[in-house]
Amino acid sequence: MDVDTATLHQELVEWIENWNEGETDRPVTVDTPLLTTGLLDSMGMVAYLSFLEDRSGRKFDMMSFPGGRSATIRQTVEHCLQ
Amino acid sequence: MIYDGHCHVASTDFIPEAFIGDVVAGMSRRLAAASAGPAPQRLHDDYVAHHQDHHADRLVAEMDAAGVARAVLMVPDFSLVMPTKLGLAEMARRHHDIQRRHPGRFWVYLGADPRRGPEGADAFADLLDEYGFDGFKLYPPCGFSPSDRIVYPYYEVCRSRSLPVFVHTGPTAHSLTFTPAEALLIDQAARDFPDVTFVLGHGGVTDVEVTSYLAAYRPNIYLDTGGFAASPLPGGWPAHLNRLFRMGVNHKIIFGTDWPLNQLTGGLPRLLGEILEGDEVLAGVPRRDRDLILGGNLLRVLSPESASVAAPGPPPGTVR
Repeated sequence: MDVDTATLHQELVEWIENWNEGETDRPVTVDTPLLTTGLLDSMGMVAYLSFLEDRSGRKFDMMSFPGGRSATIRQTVEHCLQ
Repeated sequence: MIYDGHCHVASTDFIPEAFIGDVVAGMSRRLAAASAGPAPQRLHDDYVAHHQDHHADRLVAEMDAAGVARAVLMVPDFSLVMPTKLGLAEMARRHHDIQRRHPGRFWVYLGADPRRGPEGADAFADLLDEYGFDGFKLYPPCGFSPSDRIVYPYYEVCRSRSLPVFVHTGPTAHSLTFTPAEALLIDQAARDFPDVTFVLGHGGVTDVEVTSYLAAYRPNIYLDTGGFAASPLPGGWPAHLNRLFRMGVNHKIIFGTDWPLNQLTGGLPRLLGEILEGDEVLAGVPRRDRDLILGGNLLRVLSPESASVAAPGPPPGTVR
């Protein structure tokens, strides 16, 4: 599956915004930390990565992902597509 | 030195399929309520894929990255309530193999369901002695009180060897029984075995109002923090731990993570990073207390033989 990274980034930003249902004042960008800001908790991360896998057609290898607590949309996409 | 007093080998060889099914079902229910997340079977497959660290190689890599020198591996015995891939003797042997594969990195607390009676206690003692294990992991949610007399032969085994007893408290897989996991149920056993040390698993997370007074007033009761980052805590886990560390029982708190929980949110490096470098968890906690929580108290509850293998080193926060 060919992936348009810019489009995917935008879809993921919108997914994060929808997940939070407008209840965060924090602007979401591709470089916003997802966990330390409280935009996602562990369950939210499960749902987010599932959506990322669906949209990219790739498997996200969590075991080799170095992003940890400071994970961002950009980092997760790069890791998924590499 | 930082020691993690509560870890498991993330392996489907040791964690029953039914237990994993319960965990995944809970995740699915929560995600379904938000109309999000993968289908249950995919979630299950992903969860299983994260539990293929059969030799603890990934755990050791995380410990290295996080600055954790040694950890306690728990081997709960679910075999009377759930189908298990391996019997207790084989699980013991495999954990001993892991100790030999990673020299100097693990203590092991072996489990045993006390309903196997005196013969089971003898077999348990034989395994402890054969492999030189370091403690007893008791899992009351399997259906017995930790103060039931059927457990006492096992406590005698620990008393004669100066081994600590680690007792799960609080919630667990939904198909198990929560009532016997109430922390206060340890009180009679703690009184009857004053020279045995009891560590309340998750006691720094669940029912802290009860566990903290048990730790404060019962000389032989300690608290474990396992599962702190995966528990629903008002204000978040850093704030919770900071409150816990200001309750005057830091001489009784043993730091533990309950790894492999939290793999999705950064694992051990993230947790230790937030504890040691964040501005909340250890705020206002004296250096002496930090050292006790992050390692010193664990050494105090282990037998002299088990504690002696831990080499002295720099205080917590300086090893990363």
